[in-house]
Amino acid sequence: MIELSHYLVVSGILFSIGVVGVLRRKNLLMLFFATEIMLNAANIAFAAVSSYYGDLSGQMFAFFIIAVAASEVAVGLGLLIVLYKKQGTLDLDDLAVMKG
Amino acid sequence: MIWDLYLVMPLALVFIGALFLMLFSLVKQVELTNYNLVTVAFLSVSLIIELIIFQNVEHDYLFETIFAKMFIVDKLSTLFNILFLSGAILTLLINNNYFKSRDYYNGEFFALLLFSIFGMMMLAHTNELITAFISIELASITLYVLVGYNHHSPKSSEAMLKYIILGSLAGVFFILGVALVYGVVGSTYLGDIYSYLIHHQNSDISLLVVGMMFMMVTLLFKIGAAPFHSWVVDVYIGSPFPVTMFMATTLKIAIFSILLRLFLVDFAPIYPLILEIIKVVAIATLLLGSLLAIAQTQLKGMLAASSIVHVGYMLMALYAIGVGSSFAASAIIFYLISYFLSALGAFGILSFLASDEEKRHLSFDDFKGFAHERPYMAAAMTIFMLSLAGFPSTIGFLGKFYIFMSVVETGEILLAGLGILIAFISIYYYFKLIALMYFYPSPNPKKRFPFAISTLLIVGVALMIVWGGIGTGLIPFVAGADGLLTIASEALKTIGK
Amino acid sequence: MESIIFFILAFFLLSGAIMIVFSKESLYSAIGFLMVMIAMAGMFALLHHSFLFLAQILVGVGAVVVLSIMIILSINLKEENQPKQNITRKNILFTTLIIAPIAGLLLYAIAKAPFAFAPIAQHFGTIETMGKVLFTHWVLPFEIVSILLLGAMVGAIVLSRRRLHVES
Repeated sequence: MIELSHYLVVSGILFSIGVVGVLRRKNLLMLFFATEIMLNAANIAFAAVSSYYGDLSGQMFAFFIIAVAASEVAVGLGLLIVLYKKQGTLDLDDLAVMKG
Repeated sequence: MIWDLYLVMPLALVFIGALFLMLFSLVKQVELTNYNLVTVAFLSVSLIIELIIFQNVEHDYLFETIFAKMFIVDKLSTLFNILFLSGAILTLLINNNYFKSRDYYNGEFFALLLFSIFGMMMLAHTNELITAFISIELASITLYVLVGYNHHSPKSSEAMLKYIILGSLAGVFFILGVALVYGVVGSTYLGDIYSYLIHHQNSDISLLVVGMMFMMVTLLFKIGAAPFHSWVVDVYIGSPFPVTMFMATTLKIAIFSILLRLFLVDFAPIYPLILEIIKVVAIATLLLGSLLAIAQTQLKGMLAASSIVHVGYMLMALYAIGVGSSFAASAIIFYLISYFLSALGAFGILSFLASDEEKRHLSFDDFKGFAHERPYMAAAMTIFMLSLAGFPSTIGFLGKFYIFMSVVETGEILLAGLGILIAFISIYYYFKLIALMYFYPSPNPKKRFPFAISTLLIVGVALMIVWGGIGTGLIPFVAGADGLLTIASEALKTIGK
Repeated sequence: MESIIFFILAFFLLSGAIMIVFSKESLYSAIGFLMVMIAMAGMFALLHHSFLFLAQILVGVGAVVVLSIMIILSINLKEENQPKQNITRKNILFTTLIIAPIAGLLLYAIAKAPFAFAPIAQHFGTIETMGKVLFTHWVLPFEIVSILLLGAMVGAIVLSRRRLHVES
């Protein structure tokens, strides 16, 4: 039988994969995707906990997070276009001139 | 009901202003100054209403029948709102010349600024974690765009790139933390976490503690504390001057508003578990921030790095709260106000100079002999530097004094000693600027004091800093430093458990 | 039956995520992203959250994924412009060192939660009940989210319009 912990474990693994994706940090596009995966991992946790308590709040959170993620992606992709047109690359090492 | 409408007016005005400017920016033949004035008008009316509210409000859930208990109005939130609004008004007025001297500003800039302020104000009012997350995102996403607003400069785009990547990553940690907290408590109201912890003292709370840690990570990132401080200098240097000024002064305060609410109430039962971490973070922030500040060659970078050090002092006071200091919380608010004034003035002078002379990158060398060129501005700059360094007779000294007192009160003499040591180190990089301004001959002839709104406001802020430091006893009936401290502690009293 | 579906969905979810992180071609990672989003929607359906299922398909798949694929195609990412991904042993070691504590902490915390689900109430998660809750209890965050979307829209337009301005 599938229990809450199954969902939470999937969510944890997904989150860790997302962190790996962010740490590899070579391609800007992949970086946005990886952040998106991490948000989705949180969403699974919210949805599963919502079912566990029989409480609708968790679904509301997941719904809000979908909206927040969409707006983040919109601004991020806008930046990506600007950078690509100007620099012709998505490589973070080339884009980051400043040290730090 | 009418009273509730009155309480929601400041927020509504800021939002209406944002909508108005968004539509207004489609009209072509409007001068930039007019956009600026319209924005300032909306913010000023909002500020006046907030000042009246501050006198009368105690602790109130706004529209409780509609919003449940999510929208809290108390003295703390009102005080923070006053700070955001006055910070934004001063930023806009001081930078008016700067906006005109650059060609990439337009009406949308002001609309985005208002959206950002709306997010911060909402953050101060929120009583629920998801609303807090959305407000943080609203304040940050619009700030990302503002940081990257200068499309001529690759530096600006790069600063935005760094900020958006790291900022959204930090946001994810907050949301995961909320997910875990919700999984244990079954609610995301701030007070409910506290009552859960009180009623389940013997049960296993590791999931909850991990969730709260994740939330702390995000908040520490957003204020620029130690392991997560590397973005601060790059982003501050890369963004346009007005945006740096806005970020340095208001955003930090906004994050502290939610951090204080969480820390004072919900984290109270688990202080033993997290205090050591806070202490280590505070010490690391102080040391690493000082090292960064010494290494900077640009003045903007030095101010950015020193803002990390100031966060370190406030984290020290946060630790003192946990150990049981009675007035550490008001000391933090007082310190926020004093840092707010000093940083506002210092960044204001920088952007005033940048609007005046196109070519200047404002490294330290550009300030050689500045006092002979512009004696009044140099005097104001000296006051800001003294206040940031915590020199007696400025408001910055009192801020540091209260923080060290609260740490000493808890018996952590060593920690207070470290803080004082760091304050002495900070004298090095602040006084370097003062020495450069006064002890070198000026290459340019002396210029007259330019009478404009921006310069008068800068001088006004400088006078306020001195007045906050020494003027308490001189003028009766007006709040000086003691008054501010009373206001801060009054504001804190209204946080309900 | 339920557990079989769960494991199939989890497989697609995780393999899609791995595809995003490890594939060299941007379009392949976009396809992996699509897989993750659809599998997520499947998870919501499995949990009887029909409203979330719809929102995920409409917003997640319909807007976010399509937008990113459109951008990949429109800026015409060529293979030689792709960053070289070099997976060295040092890289792997470094990443593992950072991930391990986070993952360990998460799994440790989760392992203590062996709960079975409550029996599902009637109408749980349907659009009707969700709408009622959304507009009674959660109005405030809903309004702020709408303001957030508005602000992000203005921001995205400002960012991308600037390009036309420079070119003309």
